[in-house]
Amino acid sequence: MIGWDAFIYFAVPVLGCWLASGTAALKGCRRTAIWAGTTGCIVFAAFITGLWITLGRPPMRTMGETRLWYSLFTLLSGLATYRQRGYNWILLFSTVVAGVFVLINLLRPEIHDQTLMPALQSIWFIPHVSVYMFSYSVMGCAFLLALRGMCKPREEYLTAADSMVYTGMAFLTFGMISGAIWAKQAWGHYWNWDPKETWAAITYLLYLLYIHLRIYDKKRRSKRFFYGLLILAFAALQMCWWGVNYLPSAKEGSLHTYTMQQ
Amino acid sequence: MTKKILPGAIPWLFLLLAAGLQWLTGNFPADCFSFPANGVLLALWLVLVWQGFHRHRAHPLVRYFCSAQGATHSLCMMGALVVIMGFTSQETAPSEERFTLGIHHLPDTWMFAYASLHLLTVLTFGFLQGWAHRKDNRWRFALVHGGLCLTLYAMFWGSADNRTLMAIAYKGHSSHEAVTAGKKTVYPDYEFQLSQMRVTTYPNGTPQSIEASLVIDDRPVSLRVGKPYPVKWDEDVYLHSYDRARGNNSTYAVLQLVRQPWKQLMLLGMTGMLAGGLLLFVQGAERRRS
Repeated sequence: MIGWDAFIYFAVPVLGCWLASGTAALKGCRRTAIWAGTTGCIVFAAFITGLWITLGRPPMRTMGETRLWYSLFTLLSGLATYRQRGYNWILLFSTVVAGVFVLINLLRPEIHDQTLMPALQSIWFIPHVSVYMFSYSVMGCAFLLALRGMCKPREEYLTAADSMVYTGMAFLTFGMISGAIWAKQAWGHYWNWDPKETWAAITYLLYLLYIHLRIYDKKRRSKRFFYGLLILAFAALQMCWWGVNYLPSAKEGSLHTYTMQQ
Repeated sequence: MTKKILPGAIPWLFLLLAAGLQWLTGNFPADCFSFPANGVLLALWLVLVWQGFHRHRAHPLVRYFCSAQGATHSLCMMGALVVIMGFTSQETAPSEERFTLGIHHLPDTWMFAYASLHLLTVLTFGFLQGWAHRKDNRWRFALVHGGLCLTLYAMFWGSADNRTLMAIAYKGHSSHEAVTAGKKTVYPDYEFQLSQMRVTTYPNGTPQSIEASLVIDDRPVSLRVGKPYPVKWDEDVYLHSYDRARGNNSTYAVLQLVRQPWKQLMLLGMTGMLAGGLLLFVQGAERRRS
């Protein structure tokens, strides 16, 4: 049985693999970087699978559980970008981001609850959460490119960020629509302007603005403007994911809060 | 190259005007636009857009709505309002307050109605323009924009026809009394009665499954959280709550009665967006022809 108690035995080798992958990429050892990164992802996926079996439900309910998916998808997105574009720094960046979330899970074990309340027992639960987590990780890679671009504003970073934003938007769209259909089944309305939904709309609008300005207005605006917009959109995305819990808008409770009930 | 277009400040001035109306008159009177008024207005508005696009393309207003500037303004206007909503708590009960900007119930305000209409107009003109002139990724464009159009039409034009009621189904006797969010009593044309509550819990007391057996208009119905009962083509009954202290012995179940006649149009729009999203993933980033 693989539970949270075993997490550290998986996390340490996984972090080792990912770190080796990041440094190998920096040194130009492409093959080693891909193999080490992939091995880390396989071990991490094995932990998630084991946890899923042990809990008897998909590990997607608590913040700790969603952080697992985010770490995995961030590394996978980083690996895909490295393979496709060959940026030797992206793997180390994704390792740092994924590593931070793994460390948070090691240090804040508010994650042992095995229950799954009725509102979450839906066929939409797994696609909605996993697709969102994947889109977050892809947008995370676009954010890393934007950070890099802020220091060295090159066109190629924007072109790469465009590809990621388009992929991320496809998944964000699926996540948002699957969430709306699920909300109709569970709460009666497709859209409730719940704080989480409001921030999802803000995130979506910001990425839409980026896409439209990149298509129609790119000559009039500087590269730094677009990098700034990507950073802002990613900040909104973080707000949607976890920051919303600390805002006054959520003080009267959110329909999306499942960990503080009962 | 510089063709006449609407000055960029005008849409924002209209937003200010909407804020003024909000201050003076209170919330946007959405109830006045329930069916058939909303249907007639939607048809008129579509005819205006169609005529504007096909016969008055040089008009500054039409040029503005077809332009990138119009789309940017629209996203920024809607974005600004939604950001305010993101930072403030929103009330669910309707408010009749005047001499405020309605910050705590923004979706009911004149500003939100104006920004939504602006967005819909830009989207519809953009859709017509894209469909007529696009060569690259035409279907992707049509599905994403057309799907979003349909979804927002149903959300905006159909909002006056939506009705959410709360009702209590008692064990032992039937009832057909319900209340609106504004605490007004209304009487749906069907009766409901609770037969049995069935609640199972995890060892820590968290509910694992909640099911209510009801009789709605002499038909036995089983309701669960996330499994509503379609009582009519446009109305669904949801299990909302029960007497948690009594659990299986609860003598009542709280029901939510949701009427949403435009829901199928919304679903159709969302399906289009999903298909467009899939094409977005398959085809990747846009490359503009010079």
